[in-house]
Amino acid sequence: MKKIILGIAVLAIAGVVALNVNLGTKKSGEVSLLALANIEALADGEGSGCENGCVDGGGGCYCYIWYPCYKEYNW
Amino acid sequence: MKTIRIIILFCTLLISVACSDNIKEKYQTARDNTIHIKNKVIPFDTGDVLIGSVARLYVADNYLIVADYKSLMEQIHIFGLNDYKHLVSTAYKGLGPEEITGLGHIVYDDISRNFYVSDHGKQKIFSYNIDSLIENVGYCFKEKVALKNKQFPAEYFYINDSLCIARVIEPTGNSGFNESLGKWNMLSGAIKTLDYRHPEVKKRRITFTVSPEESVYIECYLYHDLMTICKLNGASCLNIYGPNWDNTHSNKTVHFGKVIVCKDKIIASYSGGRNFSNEELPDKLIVFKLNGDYIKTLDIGYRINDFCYDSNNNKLIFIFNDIIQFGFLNLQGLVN
Repeated sequence: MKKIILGIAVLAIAGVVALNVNLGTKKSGEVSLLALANIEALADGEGSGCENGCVDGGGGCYCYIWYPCYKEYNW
Repeated sequence: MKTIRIIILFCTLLISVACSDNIKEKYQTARDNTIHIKNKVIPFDTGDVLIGSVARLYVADNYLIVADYKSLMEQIHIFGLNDYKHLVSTAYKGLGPEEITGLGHIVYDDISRNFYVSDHGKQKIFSYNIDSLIENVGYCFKEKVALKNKQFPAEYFYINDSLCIARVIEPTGNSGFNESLGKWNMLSGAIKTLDYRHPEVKKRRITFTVSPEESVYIECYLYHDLMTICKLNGASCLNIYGPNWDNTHSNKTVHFGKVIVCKDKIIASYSGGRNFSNEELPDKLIVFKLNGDYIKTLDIGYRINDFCYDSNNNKLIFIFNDIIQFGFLNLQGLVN
């Protein structure tokens, strides 16, 4: 029984990963819609992924795209 | 062998003499001629138009452009410059063909009467004709140029289509970037960075402006008490060190904010407060002569989000992050 549950869990995780990879696929130099939505969240400080930690207020911060009114948190 | 040594010595001497002539320095140990002018700031409101906490101001002929970076609807609002009456709003936020994804800098070209809007989501600059926009509710912008991903202007001072002075961003990865000033040809996309970099500032974060009449550009450092005035042709630079200058590599203290040129004066907003705190936004304006000499400090008494110069009426227009959101200051008799 444990093996069956484990198997289902592995399949589910693999499915989610595959879906994410597919949605995140983009042409060179373009940002996908999903990525843009994620970037908004990252730059709003709701997630992580930008080493510099873009936060509100300031003269600009780069996190996949340029945010003119954010600033770097980490220095 | 002896001849080579003499040549090397001569070259070293020549370079050091040349450098000492090109880079000059001024130290201002006190900027204490402070005038408190909170009561001279006249508040005004934007009527039914609600503007978010992160906004920038631009003047375009007889209009005031307010860019609202937090808006989920229209991101650009146009007001009359004399009465601050709302005229039109545009630039819906979104990914669609008639929408702006990542609103950036705005400049106005007074010859074509177009203003240019950077979209860092689509990596393009779009052009709006201000007269058409005000007359026609359904007006749609046109694409002006595409921006490159590896090197692009965050802000720029527009002189003409082939010459802009830009704060150029070069991403170093998914996050992280270097910035420099450069001459940017909007049509061809070519960027030629301006050479001077202060040797003691490791990470450069600046605001800047240009005085085409004086052929100079002025850089103010966000995290250093330092202002640099350089000739546009790169012939010479002047570093002006304030009383809080040090070369520490840190963003703990915010120094300068925006810098503008008003007639024959430089006006720069200044904070001096701790970053990531209530003190981070500037609440003072420092007035300099164009040669960098300190004149006075205007203590505004409100935390300044942004400001712009209305040359028609010789006023500064502010957006604050304080108990009032908008206000203006008549400069007659105060600065000019």
